[in-house]
Amino acid sequence: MEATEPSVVLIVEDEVLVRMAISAYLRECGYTVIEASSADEAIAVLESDHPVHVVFTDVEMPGAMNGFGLASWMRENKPKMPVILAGNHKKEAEAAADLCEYGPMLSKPYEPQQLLDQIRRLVAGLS
Amino acid sequence: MNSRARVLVVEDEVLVRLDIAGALRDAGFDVVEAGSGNEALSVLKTGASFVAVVSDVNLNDDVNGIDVIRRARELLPEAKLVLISGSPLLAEAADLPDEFISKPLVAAELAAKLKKAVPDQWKQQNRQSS
Repeated sequence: MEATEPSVVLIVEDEVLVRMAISAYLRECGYTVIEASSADEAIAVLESDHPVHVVFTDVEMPGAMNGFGLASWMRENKPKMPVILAGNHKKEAEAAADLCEYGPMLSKPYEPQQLLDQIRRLVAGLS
Repeated sequence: MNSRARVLVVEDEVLVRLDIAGALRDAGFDVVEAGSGNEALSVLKTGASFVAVVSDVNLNDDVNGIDVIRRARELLPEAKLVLISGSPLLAEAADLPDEFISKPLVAAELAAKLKKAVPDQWKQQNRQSS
């Protein structure tokens, strides 16, 4: 276990193979990972009694709500919970600046280590 | 590299999936989660090996749990296949799974059952990892 408490990361990613790889990596690093395949699933988890400390979400997702929508929902409903967004475009990064006060948006393709560093920083700020 | 016995869990209700996956991880399995039938087929297509596949029958897209189990049977003839459903299993699928579990299910019981059902693979994979 490399991670210290709090250490539950909610991963929101609709591409199953990407989600699988990043979740496995973070579990290997000692984090408890909850997987959601859409923003709706993420909200169901966040509204449940499962503890979550950090949310990592893809921006582009099918369905009624994308990653920005989820980050906005969190701003409203979970204002203290940090969120990390990952997306493809500079424009998205600018739009995300508003929503990600805890750190810059990750640009795809990102290295798993970059995500890990960002989660560690956020978790350190929480504990 | 994680070499624990791996199970694929296919369930479109996130909190149920979380419950099942959590119980299986607590029991020592490595779990891959799929939130739909199509996600499950994508995972199976990679050629990843699983000692068991656990799927809900009713999934939220055009691929249901019976399709998933059927495909798993072709690709993973050794794997234990488990279907979960809130209603009695359809006659057409009756011979497909090794195990059929009715909802509501107790995830810990499923995990214990699977641990018993896959002793050979379990021991083999644990040997490899030690």
